[in-house]
Amino acid sequence: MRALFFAELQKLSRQPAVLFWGFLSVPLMAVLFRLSLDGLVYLRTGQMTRGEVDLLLSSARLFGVSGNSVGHLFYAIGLSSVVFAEYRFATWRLLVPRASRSQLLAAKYLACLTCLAIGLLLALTANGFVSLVQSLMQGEGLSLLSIRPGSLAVFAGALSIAMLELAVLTSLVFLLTILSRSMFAAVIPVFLLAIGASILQVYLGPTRELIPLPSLVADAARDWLFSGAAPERALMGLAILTAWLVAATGAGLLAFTRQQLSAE
Amino acid sequence: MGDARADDAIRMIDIRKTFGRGGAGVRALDGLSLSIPRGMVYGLLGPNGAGKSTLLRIIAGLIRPDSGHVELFGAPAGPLSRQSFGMLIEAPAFYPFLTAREHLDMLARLSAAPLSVDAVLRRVGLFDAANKKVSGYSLGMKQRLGIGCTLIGQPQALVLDEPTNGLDPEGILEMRSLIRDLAVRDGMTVLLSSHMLDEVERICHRVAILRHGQLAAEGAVADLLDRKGRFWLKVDHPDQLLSRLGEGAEPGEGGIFITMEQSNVPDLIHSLVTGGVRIHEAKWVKPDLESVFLSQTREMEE
Repeated sequence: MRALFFAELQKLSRQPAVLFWGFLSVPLMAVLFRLSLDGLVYLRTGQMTRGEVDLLLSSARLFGVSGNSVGHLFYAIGLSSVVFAEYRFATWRLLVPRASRSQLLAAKYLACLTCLAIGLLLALTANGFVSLVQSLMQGEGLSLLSIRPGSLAVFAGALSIAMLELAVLTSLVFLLTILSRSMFAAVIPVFLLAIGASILQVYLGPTRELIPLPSLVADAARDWLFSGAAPERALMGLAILTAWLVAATGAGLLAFTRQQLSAE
Repeated sequence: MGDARADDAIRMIDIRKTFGRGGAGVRALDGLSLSIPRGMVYGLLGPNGAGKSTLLRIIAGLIRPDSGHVELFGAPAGPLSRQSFGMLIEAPAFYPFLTAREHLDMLARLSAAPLSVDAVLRRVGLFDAANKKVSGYSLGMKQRLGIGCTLIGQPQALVLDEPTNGLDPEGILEMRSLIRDLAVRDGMTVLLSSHMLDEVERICHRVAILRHGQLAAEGAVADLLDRKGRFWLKVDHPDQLLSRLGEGAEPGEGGIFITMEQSNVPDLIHSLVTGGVRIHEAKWVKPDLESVFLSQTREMEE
């Protein structure tokens, strides 16, 4: 299993375009977006937007990018590429005789989650660096940067919600890629689901939480974390996310273990 | 045919496989049973659609049979029992963004007791191109790398689908010698499918001929050839002899071909000579595997 996991990481490391656009670009774009907004305000008003910055809380908010619908498009392309490559190059026939199918899929899954986590951690580092530069530019040294007690719990909570949401996305994309043996057929439904959830979010307002879509229930959990919304909704949201994860992972595993690889 | 022996490397029992459902379904394998003894180069022959590739894919675990089962060295086929096999199924498949060395490194890490990557690269003649991406390889180089990938895990048996495909004549000779060497020196079992009948005749000890997913013939190559041998005679009045011998005889090459068992030849000669037939020339004609293959598949068709 360990060897399979490292083999997947090695394959990804040899596909820099997939690695960057599929796993690292979304969180880095979130940092760039924040930087652009701050830069715009600075150019218009000559003042920095931020006063004191809690580094952990600022990073925790950044993890909300896991629910971004455009982000889901990029993530889905990267995730689907990892599975689709085996169909495209017919390389399942190189791997399947050497390891069990469940191990092969698990190795891909873990490699993808690792890359997604690395992307978030890189964004966290970049965000910290931007905050540091802004603090120095305001002539306050490091005094504007802080880590408040209690922020660590919010940070850990936001990271867990983001990783759970991304794990659900990974399972869904894997399932669709396996069933369709196509990247388009996997990416487009996931993107439409994300866009649909965003539209519902705008039009339905608070009642949106009644709809058990992954990004809506993840938002409910984040609302509790950052805005103090009712914990019951957050718990329900986490339970629904977990149910999505179990269902999509189980269905993907079942589909792959029974799949005929006669014409990849 | 397909006798079960304790020392079989591969045993396939009553394998059935149909692609598609209902009337549109295509029966690829129809109750096929076959045993591949250890330490032998075994050839799998058959026309297109005979079920060779389906059979090899079932052995490799790429598809599941509808019924029947496969045993590898006495254990049910699975990821664990396949560890002792090297498999090259259909055209070699690789990641175009990895080099040959990276492929072998990766597969070596998946094996319990891998060979040295450099040794395998040298053995298949790719040492100098080891750090080149596979996307730049010719078909022949990919075929060599495919063989390298099967050897890296130090297997006890190989399953090779058209192993000389895409190789130049020199490469074909090298590959044949490598396969023979693996069987003779390393005691490896090799199951190979090929369309090149002369190749199978040269390197295989036994063959199985498939037709419509069933076994049309199976046996040692020498036995199959003997079984289909014919006796040829040049006599004074061939027409008279032809009418006397009936269905089993036909004219050809300036004489008469007689289909018969080789052991009956002395009796036939004796009866002809005592019957006053003047024999100018006589010989036992061994067929090549191609004619055996064609006659077996035609017989099955009829």
